Amino acid sequence: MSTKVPYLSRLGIYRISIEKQETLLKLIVLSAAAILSFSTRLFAVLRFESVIHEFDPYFNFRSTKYLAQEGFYSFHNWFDSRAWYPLGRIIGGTIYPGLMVTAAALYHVLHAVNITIDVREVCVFLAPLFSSLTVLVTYYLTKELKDVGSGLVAAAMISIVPGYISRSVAGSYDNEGIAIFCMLLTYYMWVKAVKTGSLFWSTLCALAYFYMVSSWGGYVFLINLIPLHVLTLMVTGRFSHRIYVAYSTVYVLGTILSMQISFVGFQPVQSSEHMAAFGVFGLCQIHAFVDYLRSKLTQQQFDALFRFLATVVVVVSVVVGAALTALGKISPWTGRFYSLLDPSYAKNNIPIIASVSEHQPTSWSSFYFDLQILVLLCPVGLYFCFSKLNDHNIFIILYGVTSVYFAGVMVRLMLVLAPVMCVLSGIAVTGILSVYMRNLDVIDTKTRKKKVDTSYPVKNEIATFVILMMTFFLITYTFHSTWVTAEAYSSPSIVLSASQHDGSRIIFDDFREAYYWLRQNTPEDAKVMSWWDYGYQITAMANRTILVDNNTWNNTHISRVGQAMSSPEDKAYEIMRELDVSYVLVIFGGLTGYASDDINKFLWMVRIGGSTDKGSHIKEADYFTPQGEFRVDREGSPVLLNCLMYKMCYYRFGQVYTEQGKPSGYDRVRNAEIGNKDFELDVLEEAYTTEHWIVRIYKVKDLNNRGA
Amino acid sequence: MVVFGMVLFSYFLVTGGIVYDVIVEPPSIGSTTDEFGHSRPVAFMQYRVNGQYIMEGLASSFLFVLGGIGFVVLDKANLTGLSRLQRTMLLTLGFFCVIAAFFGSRIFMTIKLPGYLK
Repeated sequence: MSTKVPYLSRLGIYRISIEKQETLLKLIVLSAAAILSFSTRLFAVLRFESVIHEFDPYFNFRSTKYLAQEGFYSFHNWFDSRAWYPLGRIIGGTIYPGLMVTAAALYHVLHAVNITIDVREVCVFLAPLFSSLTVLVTYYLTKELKDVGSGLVAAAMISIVPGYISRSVAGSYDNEGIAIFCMLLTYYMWVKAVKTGSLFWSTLCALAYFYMVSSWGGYVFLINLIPLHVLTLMVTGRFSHRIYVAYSTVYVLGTILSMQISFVGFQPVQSSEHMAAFGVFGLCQIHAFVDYLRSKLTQQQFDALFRFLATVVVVVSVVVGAALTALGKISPWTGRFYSLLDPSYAKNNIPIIASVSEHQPTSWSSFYFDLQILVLLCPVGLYFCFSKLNDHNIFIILYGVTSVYFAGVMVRLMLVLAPVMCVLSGIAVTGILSVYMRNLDVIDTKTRKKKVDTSYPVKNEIATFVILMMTFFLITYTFHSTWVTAEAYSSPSIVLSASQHDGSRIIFDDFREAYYWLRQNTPEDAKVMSWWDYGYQITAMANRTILVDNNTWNNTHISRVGQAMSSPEDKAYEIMRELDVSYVLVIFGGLTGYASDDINKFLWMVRIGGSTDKGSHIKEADYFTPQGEFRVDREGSPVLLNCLMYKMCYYRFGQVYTEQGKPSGYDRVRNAEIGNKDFELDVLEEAYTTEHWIVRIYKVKDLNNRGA
Repeated sequence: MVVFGMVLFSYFLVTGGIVYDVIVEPPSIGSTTDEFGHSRPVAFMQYRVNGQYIMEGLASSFLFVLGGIGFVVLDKANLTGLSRLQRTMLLTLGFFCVIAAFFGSRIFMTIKLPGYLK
């Protein structure tokens, strides 16, 4: 940069050089983006209170409390007998500990400097903190891929992109909150390693990969994307010693480190999901060896040797691979990841995976809702990458294309797509703007040499219009993102709120009311049966033993609970006695209009209940009317009207008036008057119903004193 | 650039929700009956962000790709060695594509979610 006199200094005020102005600008933009990303995630805390949201975060919170109090060794060897009664759960070996370790470490550091905040506060605000760090990492990553300008734009975009905010608001204490930071850090180190070919950056990449493996199961995406990148470089003839050093180091160190996490164990050398990385590693060695030989031998010797070796290697690897897969030493793709390659697999074979709402495929509006202008700019960013192909551009192209496909298959993976969309859009915006900025007439008061380009009319005006248009688009992006964050992604879901017709807000705190009732009014060793959605919340807040929770690791046990819910009272009583259940908890939304209640989930209970041997008498068709409709009114199927779930939800509901002009027992979610109104419960008695009837708890009666 | 074309086509399909169409099998166009009993077509599945009809998905992803192409055309319009006519046509096409795509997708979202940006 030649020493041009900066504009401001002509005003006589500032005499700082261009470099210092640039540094100041970078600092201002990055710190503004980091502060913005933290503050935009605080809507829920401001509207309600600092509370943990949803279901999974409650388990993470409970584990973090345990870790902070007991220390790492007891955490790592923790066997929890209060979940999955009577089986229990080995927590130490079945979780990704990165999130809890990070939060506990932060907690201890703060306490060491006498900032004594509670574990809950650390957990609630960890995700926004890491989103600020993600902003910084995105800047560095995009700077490596393109230049500083795109880095700044990408950082500003990722600070507010709704696709990332949805899983990292304050209170959403889940693995994804830190996993995105770890993922982008690993990618940044990888790009640096590919560009420099140094052992230092490759080792740092392996360490970042270890942090990623410890934080999220989605690390499988990384360990397949990086080998895919290396393979593409080999195919396009860009393989060099830098790639060789980078990949060999990352693969070896990364695999060894990833096996230190107990949950991952020996999977990196056994499961099909990791075999691609191993294959590419072998291919790397062979490619480098071939290049070495080629430089040493004459052409004919080389050709003969090459043909011989190629046939031997291919035959041996195919035979060994087939033998190991047949013997079962290499396990096939697990259900969750296989359903990414064949989306209809889960729907046909594994109802539990298919029932999770986050696993549904994505519609166009989810793309636009979560990304807005980025969906338009992503192809442009890809175009700029394609026009200047080099080693690291190929990486971002692969990342972009694969994550667009995976986000299309599963809504939850929109989270993985959001960062790469920001990177590509940053590249696109900078590409367009830098081209058109050069067309602007720089006003020089001394000389005005106008070289009019006859083929380009109104060059200056068009450039100004393009720049203003781009600015307008980016401004609408911020309005959209803030609106989406405030309206759609800031609900704690443990506390509900609705606005009444006179504008005032009414708060439904039924969940916590019920859990605290359980905590204070039931014996310590009481076992609570509910559907698996609420398991984590019950263990964390009510501190009682439960049968099934959100971990869903044992399909047979969940199926047993599903059978109990779908059977009539006497059959269900046998199952409840077998499992030592003392209390049953159901969620009912008919009084308030809360749509995510257990009656709406009931068909999944039937499907899962009927999917094992003991539940083979439960057929989904029995719960529909002869015309094939799911109805709760008089026309409903008698099997449905007499099952345990129906009776628990609608007990005494027949005498309640819910809406003006409607008969008593009108269900506001199904919009029907219930069919079976006046009935008594034989084996249960009502223990507690919350203020708005959202949570209903029943006590299981003991056996009669005298038989029959 | 051939690869870029294939990538763009697959982007068109995926953002149009083709996986959703294959798994959930929604109708191509929804229908509702009006007060006279006639059945009227419904283009957008309203009030839900996570559901769509086949046609609305493809129409929206077409707008996304159109916007992308508009920006690419705007970039190509700046090359040296173009005649005045070519440059004017490229610039007009570019602006038209970008503005139509941006406002079109915005309007589609407003139709789909009546409470959008309130």
